[in-house]
Formats: sequence, structure tokens, C-alpha cells
Amino acid sequence: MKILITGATGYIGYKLAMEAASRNYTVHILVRDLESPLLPVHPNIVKFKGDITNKASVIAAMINCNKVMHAAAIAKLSAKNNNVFYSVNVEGTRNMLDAALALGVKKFVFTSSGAVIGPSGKYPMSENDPRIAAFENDYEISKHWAEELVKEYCRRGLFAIIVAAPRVYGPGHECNGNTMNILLKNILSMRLAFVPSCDNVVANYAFVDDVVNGHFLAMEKGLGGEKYILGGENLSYRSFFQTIKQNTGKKIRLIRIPKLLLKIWSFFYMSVCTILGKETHVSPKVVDRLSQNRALSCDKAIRQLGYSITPFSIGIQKTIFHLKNKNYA
Amino acid sequence: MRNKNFALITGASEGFGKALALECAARNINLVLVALPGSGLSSLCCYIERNFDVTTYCLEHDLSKKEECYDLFNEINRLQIPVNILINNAGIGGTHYFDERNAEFYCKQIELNVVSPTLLTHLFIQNLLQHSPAYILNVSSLASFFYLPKKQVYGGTKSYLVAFSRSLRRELKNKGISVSVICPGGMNTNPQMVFQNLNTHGLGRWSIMDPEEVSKIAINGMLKKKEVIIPGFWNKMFMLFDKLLPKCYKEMLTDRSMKESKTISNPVIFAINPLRTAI
Repeated sequence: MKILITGATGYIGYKLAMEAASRNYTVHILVRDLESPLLPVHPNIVKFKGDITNKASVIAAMINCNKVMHAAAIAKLSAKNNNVFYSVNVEGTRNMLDAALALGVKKFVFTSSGAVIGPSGKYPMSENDPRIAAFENDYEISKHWAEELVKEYCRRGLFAIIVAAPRVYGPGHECNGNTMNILLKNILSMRLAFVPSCDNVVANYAFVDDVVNGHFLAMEKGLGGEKYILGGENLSYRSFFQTIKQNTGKKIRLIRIPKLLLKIWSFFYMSVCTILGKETHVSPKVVDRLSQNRALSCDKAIRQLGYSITPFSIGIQKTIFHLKNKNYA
Repeated sequence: MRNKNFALITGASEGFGKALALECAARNINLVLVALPGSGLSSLCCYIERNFDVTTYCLEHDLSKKEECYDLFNEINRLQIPVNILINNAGIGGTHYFDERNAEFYCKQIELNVVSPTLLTHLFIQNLLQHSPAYILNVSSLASFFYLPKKQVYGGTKSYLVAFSRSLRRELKNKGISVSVICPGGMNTNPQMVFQNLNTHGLGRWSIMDPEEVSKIAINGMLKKKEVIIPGFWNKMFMLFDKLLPKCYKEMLTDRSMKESKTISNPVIFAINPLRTAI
């Protein structure tokens, strides 16, 4: 059985490709650089050079595949040229969907983001809840439009499933999509963590192995046109940092920083980066974002797919073990 | 004690209407939400009922059709819902030269932006009088004060709402109904607007507000019985500049920005590349 996986040099895509290969799929991966050090290597993996923005290369890689996992995207909050969000995340997805429909792909799993759902109210948000705050950035809009496109192609007859991952942590590549590991690495090496003073703010943290497993469950059992949140535990910053602290086995100082100070610092940092022409994800808006509740409910995935959540304390132990082995602590 | 009265909000499924609904719900005001069929109104109602201590009705009507305005009124009468707040928010926007759209579009825009709020106000006035203190909030736009190119019909319909509200306010002042009108500037109402706003530069960019902020100001202003509500510092500044600057200079400034301004179609529905249309 052949499957095409995009984004295979990224955090989630790499793991999807390796998992599919170990499940005896012949895995086609579409990559921009055949010599990339981030490529997944396995006898079942076949490399195709190309780019999702180039439709011919998409078709070449998709021929004879009856399943597709589309995990490639620009996964960051800002870019020097914001057009890339639309050309890659929206138009790239359109190319993928077009090719899949034309080539008669049986199942198409699209990796979306918890960012499309946005902040939560009194209870964790589920798939059908409306968005309660305005979209904030190009990334969110592009992923929202990509989801709308997937639904449109479902109406045209493609069997596609959307899965949405929130903040993902766990062993894996260090790249843009993997901000959680960068944070953990910094905590381990500096032995201190800056905790925002709004430490009762709740967000959802998904363990990467759960997310990968969820992709395969969605492909097996997911209903066409449906969306499934593949999340983890909802945690406040306080318990998030406390759990990390307990599991490092080292003395870590937690320093609380008032939100206002964070905002001022982020403003200056952003200004300096702008003047120097450096790309940065820090801005006062991001600080605001980090102080909103973003709790999610995975009940639908648990009920319909049999999805399961690794407890945060266990997931974080595995992550720290992985980082320590890579000599970050 | 649970509030017995209801706020009727039109165009509540998306954007500013949705933000107004959430803001009212947060203030324990019961809701009758109206929007087009198939616009996702029921999921908003479910969300509100689950997260707030209010009763919510969700009614789907196309208010650009007169008979559906009557249907809405009859349905609310049949359900005997005591309405003490009427928010006329439903409207059709758009930024295009006059000849870029067909006449049908403009007729529909006038039906929804002018006829429907007039009709609904007329129909619901008895209901409002019975449940005073009552409030009417009409959603106009900053475009009602500036005669901008590409905003001919839209600006006209919104100017009507300002004149209508201010005049009606004087009539109803002593009868227990307060009429307010809100004139927001650019807002991040839906993904297309956010996309458009992220690509706006200069003064226009600073004045853009999130609907959550504006809805707070709107409901506060309405309950404080303000006549004309202009939300945000920059929008107020625009009003001041309008009074201070000479006409030729204003026209030069706005001409330039309006030339670049364009309504973006949903790239999904119309299968148009957003990059090609926007830039």
C-alpha cells in the first residue's frame, strides 16, 4: 500500500513518515531538498523532489498512492513576506486536494492547527464551537482557509479528514513547528524558567506520539469531512511549569514576570529585530495570545477514533529524557 | 435574579453581530439571534447556552426579504418573547466602484441595510414600549461621515441609519426607548477582513479594531443612552481631522487609500487565489 506524506522534514511529518514506514506502507515523501539532514530514512521511504506549490511535482509523487497525509505548512506566526502563508498553506493545499481528487485518492488526512479554533470560554472548545475572537494573523487565516478548502473538496467527492493539533511537545526535530522543545531546551540549559504572572491561564498540550497515532486513527476510522482535535491535557501555566520542574531532576528556578513587563520587553525586542531585519515571533500581540485560555476537548476523537492521551507528566519525562540524551542538560 | 428580557440581534452568526451576541451573553442578557440559514448560527447558540447563564433563541431568516422580516416578527410574537433591546446589525458591506457590481447587488444592499432595520424597528416598537427601559442600537459605519469612492451605496445606506436613528431618538426620548447608533471604522470581522486589514498600511492599519473590543463599547454606549457612538481613539481622530482639514487635502488622502482598498472574495468559494486579488 502506498501513501504520500508531505512535510516529512518537519516535526510531525517526519514522525508520520517513520510511523507509516514501520507499518509497512511504501511511503512517498515530497521534499524540497533531497539532501536535507532532516529527511526520514527507512527502506520503505521513497523520496520525490518537489514542492506542494508546484502541482506537477505533487502529481508525480502522488501517482499510485491511495492514501495521503498532508502535513506540510509554514508553521510560524510571522514571516518577512506574509504571502508565503497563502501560497504554501492555502494554494499548496489546493494543489494537493486537486491532485488527490484527480488521481482518485481514497483517503486524505489534512493536518491543521488548534490556532484555527482560537481562545476558549468557560469550557474547553470542541470541533463544532464557533470561533469567539477575531483571527489574529496570517497563519491562522491560512490554516482556516485551507480547512475550508478541504471541506469544499469533500463536497466534490474527496474522502478527506481534518485533524487539528494544538501546542505539540515531545521528542523530535527542532524546527519552527516545535516551539515547545525549544522552550524545554532553554529551561534545561539555563536552569530557570520565566513564567508569565497570569499563571492560571489554561492551554492544551499534545504529546507528539499521540498526535501521530491520532493521524493514523483518523485515516482508519475518521468520517469524511469531519474534523478531529488531537490534543492532550489542558494545563495552567502553573502546573505546566511545576510538572516540568519536578521531572527535570534538577534545581530549576521559576521566575514570575508581570504581563506588562513582558509586553514592554516584547515591543522592544520586536523593534530591534525589525531594525536589524531579523525575523522574530515575539510581539506584544503574541504576549496577549499567550495570556488567553486555549483549552480544547478531544472527546470527539476519543469517542469516534479511540484516540488516547498520554498524561503530561509521562510525556514530559520522555521528552526530557530525549533532550538529555542529546546533551542539552 | 435572572433577566427576563431579551435582546434581538440581527446578522449574529459572524463578525460584529457574533461579538455583540457574546458581549450581551456575558452581561446576562437573553438573546434572540437572527442570521441567514446555514450560516452556523445554531453552533453559536449552543456555545452561548453552554457557556453563559442566558436563554438563547436562534432564528434563521433572510432579512433582505420583507416577508421574512414579518415572519420573524410573527414568530417572536407567537413565542411571546419580551424584547427590550433591538440591535439592527445585519448588513452587506463592500468596496467597489459603482460599475463593478450589478444593480441587483445594490438593491439587495439597500433592502438589507435600510429597509430591513426600518421595518424591524417599526414592527418591534410596541414590544419595546411594553418592556421599557428599552434600547435600539443601529449599526452604521464611519463611512457614513466620509463620502468615500467605492463606498457610494454602502456609505449612503449607513448615512441613512445615522439620520434615522438621531431623528427617531428625539421622537422616542420621552417614551422609554433610547435610540443609539454606532459608527465603527475598520474591524477584523471575518477572515477576509483580517487578511485585508493585515495588508493595509499607515493610518488605516492603526485604526482597525477587533469586534470584541467594539462590541463592549457598543453595549456600554447603548446602555448609557449615548446618541452616536464612535469606538476607538483613531476613529475619533478621523472625525476630528474631518472637521479641521481642508476638503482638497482630505480628498487627496482618502483617494490614495481607497484606490488600493478592495473587497476580497472568499478564496475557497470563488476558487480565486487571494494573492492575485489582493496584491
